[in-house]
Amino acid sequence: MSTKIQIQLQVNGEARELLVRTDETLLETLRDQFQLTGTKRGCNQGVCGACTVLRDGEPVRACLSLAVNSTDTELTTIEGLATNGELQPIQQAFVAEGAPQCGFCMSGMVLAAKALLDTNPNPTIDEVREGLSGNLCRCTGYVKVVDAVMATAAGKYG
Amino acid sequence: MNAMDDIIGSALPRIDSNEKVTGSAVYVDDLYRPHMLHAARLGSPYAHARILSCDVTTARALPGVKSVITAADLPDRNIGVAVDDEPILARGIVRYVGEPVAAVAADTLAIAQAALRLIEIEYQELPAVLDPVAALASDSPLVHENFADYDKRFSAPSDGNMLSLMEVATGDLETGWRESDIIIEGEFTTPAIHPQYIEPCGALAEVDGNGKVTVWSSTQSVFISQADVSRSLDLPLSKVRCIATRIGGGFGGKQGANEAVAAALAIATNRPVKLIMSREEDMISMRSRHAAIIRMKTGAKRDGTLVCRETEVIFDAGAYCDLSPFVPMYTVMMAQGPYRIPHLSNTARTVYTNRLRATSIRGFGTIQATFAGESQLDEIAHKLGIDPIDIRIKNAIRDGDKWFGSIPVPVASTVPCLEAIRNHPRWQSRHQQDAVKPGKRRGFGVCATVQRGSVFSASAQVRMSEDGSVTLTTAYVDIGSGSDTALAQICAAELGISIDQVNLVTPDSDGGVYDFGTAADRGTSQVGHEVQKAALKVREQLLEYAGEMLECAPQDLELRPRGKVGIKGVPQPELGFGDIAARGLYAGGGPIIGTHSSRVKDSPLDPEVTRSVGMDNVAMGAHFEFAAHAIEIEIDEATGQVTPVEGWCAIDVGRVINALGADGQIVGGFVQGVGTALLEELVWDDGRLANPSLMDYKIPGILDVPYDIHRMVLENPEPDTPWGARGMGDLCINGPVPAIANAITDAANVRLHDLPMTAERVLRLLIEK
Amino acid sequence: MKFFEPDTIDEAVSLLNEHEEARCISGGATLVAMMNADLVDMPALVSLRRITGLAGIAADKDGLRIGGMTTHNTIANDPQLAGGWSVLRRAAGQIAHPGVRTMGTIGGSISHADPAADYLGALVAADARVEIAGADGVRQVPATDFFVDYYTTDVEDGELVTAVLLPAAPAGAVGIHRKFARADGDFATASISLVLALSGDVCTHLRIAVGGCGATPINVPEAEQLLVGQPLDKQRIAEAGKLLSAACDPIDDVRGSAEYRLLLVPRLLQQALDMATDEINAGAAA
Repeated sequence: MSTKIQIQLQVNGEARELLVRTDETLLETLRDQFQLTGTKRGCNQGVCGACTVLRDGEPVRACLSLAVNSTDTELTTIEGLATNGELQPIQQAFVAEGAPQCGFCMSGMVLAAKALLDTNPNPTIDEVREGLSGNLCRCTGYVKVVDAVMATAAGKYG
Repeated sequence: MNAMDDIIGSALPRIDSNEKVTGSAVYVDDLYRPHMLHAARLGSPYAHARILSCDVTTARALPGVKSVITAADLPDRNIGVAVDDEPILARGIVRYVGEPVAAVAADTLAIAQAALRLIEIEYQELPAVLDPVAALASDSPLVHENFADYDKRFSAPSDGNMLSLMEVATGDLETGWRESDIIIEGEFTTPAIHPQYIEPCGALAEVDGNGKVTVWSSTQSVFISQADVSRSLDLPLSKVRCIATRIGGGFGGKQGANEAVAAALAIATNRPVKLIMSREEDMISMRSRHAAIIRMKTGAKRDGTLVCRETEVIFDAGAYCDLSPFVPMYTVMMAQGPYRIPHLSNTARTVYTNRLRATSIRGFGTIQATFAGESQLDEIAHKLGIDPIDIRIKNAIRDGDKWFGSIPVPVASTVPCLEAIRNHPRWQSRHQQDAVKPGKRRGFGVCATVQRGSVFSASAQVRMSEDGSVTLTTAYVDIGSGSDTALAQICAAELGISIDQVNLVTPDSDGGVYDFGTAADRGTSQVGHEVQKAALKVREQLLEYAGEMLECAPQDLELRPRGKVGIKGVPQPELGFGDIAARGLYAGGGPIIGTHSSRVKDSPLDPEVTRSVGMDNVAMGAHFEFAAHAIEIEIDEATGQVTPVEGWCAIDVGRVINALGADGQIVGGFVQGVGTALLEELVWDDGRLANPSLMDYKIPGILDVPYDIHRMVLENPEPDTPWGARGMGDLCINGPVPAIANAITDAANVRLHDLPMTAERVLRLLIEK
Repeated sequence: MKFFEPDTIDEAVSLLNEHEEARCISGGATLVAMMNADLVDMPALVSLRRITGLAGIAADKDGLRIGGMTTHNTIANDPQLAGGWSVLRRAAGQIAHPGVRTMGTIGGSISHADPAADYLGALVAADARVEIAGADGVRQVPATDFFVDYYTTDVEDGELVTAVLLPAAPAGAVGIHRKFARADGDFATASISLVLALSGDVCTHLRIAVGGCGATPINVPEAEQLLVGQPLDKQRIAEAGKLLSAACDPIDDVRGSAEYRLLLVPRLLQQALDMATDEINAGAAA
């Protein structure tokens, strides 16, 4: 049985305090304790990227992050993007450009795209591809995802 | 036709897109039920062994463990769609490394996994057979000694480890070889691969107070899953309900996803039980695509006319049959490719081995033979000095031809697909690019492919509500293809309403209709057909009721856009669908409900012309699908690395239902095909999977495939499907494999016969040259 | 499992010495993956996250100091890592994927010492030293002595890596990390890391390390000596490649056979030298 430690962190703008096991991953904390199931477990080895969240603005693998090591950080999960049901431009772009298929990789993909555009608002296609290179998708073949990001950068969705 | 079809072909976003970009889509692991337990399974360490004893007492005693079960706790029953050869927990014998032997339900997953380590099982190792050729030998250990006792539901002959033998032939091979000026012979191999859906398999089961089991599952077929639970636990189907959650990809690997084990634990504990595979477990114990050895011999005349093709395939089915027999059925029907070849013989032997079960993974029986056939055709073209596109056009099957001399092919699109690629501006200018960098070689390859769609039974129900909206039930599972949206579009188009007015019901075995499952490109064409027919019945009832209300004959009425009925030629009065439906309920003929169900009419084979074994003189499926692919690759001469640089996909979909959906399937299939061609292989080390992780088994990431993938969507309608639409899910994955093989030959004058076409394999050939 | 967050290196060292089989966690990219796969189970974890001064890249009179907690992403984007030092920057930028590079650290990666990882060869080619802190104080170990065997370094129980130290590279040198992998983000099947300096077309400095072809990075001084002091030519490069291959002891695994790795070594060497030469010439022309 693992010891438990009290941590505090911000999740989608809300300050949270909770007890976590010392060996608890951020992915487990998000899904099991916060019931924020938008962040997905695809491989639990840090390869597929379905567990991508933003920690202090940077994309990280939630499955490779220990909750205890994320104390005093600001997390953004996929649930934190839309406000009052209104989608952010990147989300609208994904929808309108036809990016999601089975959807399982999309939480990570959208956040990786957001992180990219936050640091590089006018990327080239190559830069978009580089920025998304850590998110595996088995359905789409990636082209429409790139189109959605480029369209967002071009301001097509606000 | 009165259907308003401007919704057909539009680029409507999927009806489920919003939930997928906000993280609110509910996949099975996102479900929580009160008092839920977590399950884990123990896998066999041996490829073939007898279970001598099993002691679970220590495991059961671990605090937090609520149940430990083995086959001893279950009825003596097997599952299997084609033959019931598979226990849900190994009974007496284990047949592959990782086969589940025991299962635990506990308060947490960590406790369940700890309990697994406390289970003591004594095995007696048995000789294992790990390759299908060895398995065919008469002295090979038998994977299923009691095969004769199983309920086998297909007629192809079985013998020893050979699960099925299927053959189709026409003409006469000896005549064919005599008439050929050139004959090419070769052997090709393709390895087992894993579908690598990003969401691993999983199920959540619970039992209600009346003993009815409900299972939520990441399954491609709620009815196969229902049958698995019912059969293995000896429960009547009326006591089992299966609901499909949102599915994170299937690709043919999720016909049933461990629901039965979850259900068994739920019954044993009387609590909900969730069982989710880890990536490693999924790769070790779920499903793979058949490894294959393809021996092919092709004969042609000097002018490039194909005369004769003989194909013999050995498929490795792994330890359990699953949907194996259906795979070679497609192989023997289509190994010759989309060409007129008068003398043909296709044979497929599907063989049990002590490895992971193989099944109808995307590329359903054709991807392996297509690799061989389209490679050999290029070899012939090269030897005869004929352009690869020309030789394909020359031999292509044409509208009205008969497949194998038996099956009419109303629409044969190989020629227009190839011409679409040839006429594409980027293809035309392909040699006008910048010079190849030193140390690199550039090559182009083409291929033409065929697939077959629709299988077994489907049904649909459309019910009109009092506000004019409809509820559509099909039980067909959208595994990511966009079928939910397409089917809703078909329904909406038939009735002239907006797609927002279609309430699509979650696939549910309690839902009132039946569907075989997501497979064989059957969604748009076959299930869509049922939707169309059901919607037409609703239309009839609307007109009948409206006729009563307007006091005129139904044939004088018409449907109008946005849910209205009026008299032809008379603008007013108009009735709204909702009013008609409401009146029906309380004052009229009853609820407006349209239902339709049917089984696909498989195509008969004329035994005079088409000789066959194991096919019941029938070719399963209802229509053919055609495509052509081309690709540009670059080879690094120093390492042999093959990089796909640009792609061309020409697919004839008959009629686009959803433009975004069709486009997504084409590109997605292309990229998956690149994975099969260059990267993917399940590697076994003496029966144990050596690469059960995404670290070690690579699928294409965005930087492994080009952005420049050109899509040419052709629309030559099929006669008897909704708006002429055909399926394409399986079709789009086959092309890149031989196209890349042909491109490598074009670039470096070496030919690979084995997949994947790794840098190592290419470099060896380059050095040998 | 106990969890500690010391504020200083000394505290961390004390904790490691106090708790048998305790492990450090820096970024967690490797360690947590191993935990998730049930490959490791320690009674105590010592997080280095709170220790100031462990992350960051700073020049000093001896060269460059890269703190052990510096992430791959930071290293991959730091303009100070120019010239010969760019071998490290380029290695960092090819590790795994963007979402891992934000978390993984150089200290964590080299402590794990996976022979197929990217830093190992780069450190050797850059003549780096590794700084290790322990109960007896701080010591430095040349990279060639730091990597001892598969997943084994010179770090003893109770010690931790605190920094990687790079001496000044020769003026005008370039650093190349030519990695061959099956797919983007994969571990190397084989890699060549090198630092090259030319005077005119004469090679004045060359350090080569082979990655992924043995228990540790392979460095063969004779191979370098064959090429230093004269213009680079294909024949001598091929001979140097042969010497390197002969010193390699690769395994067969899913990323490639041993035989293929040996084939790759001289070829990757030629490619890396071509890239380095092109870059030097482009710089000279600019």
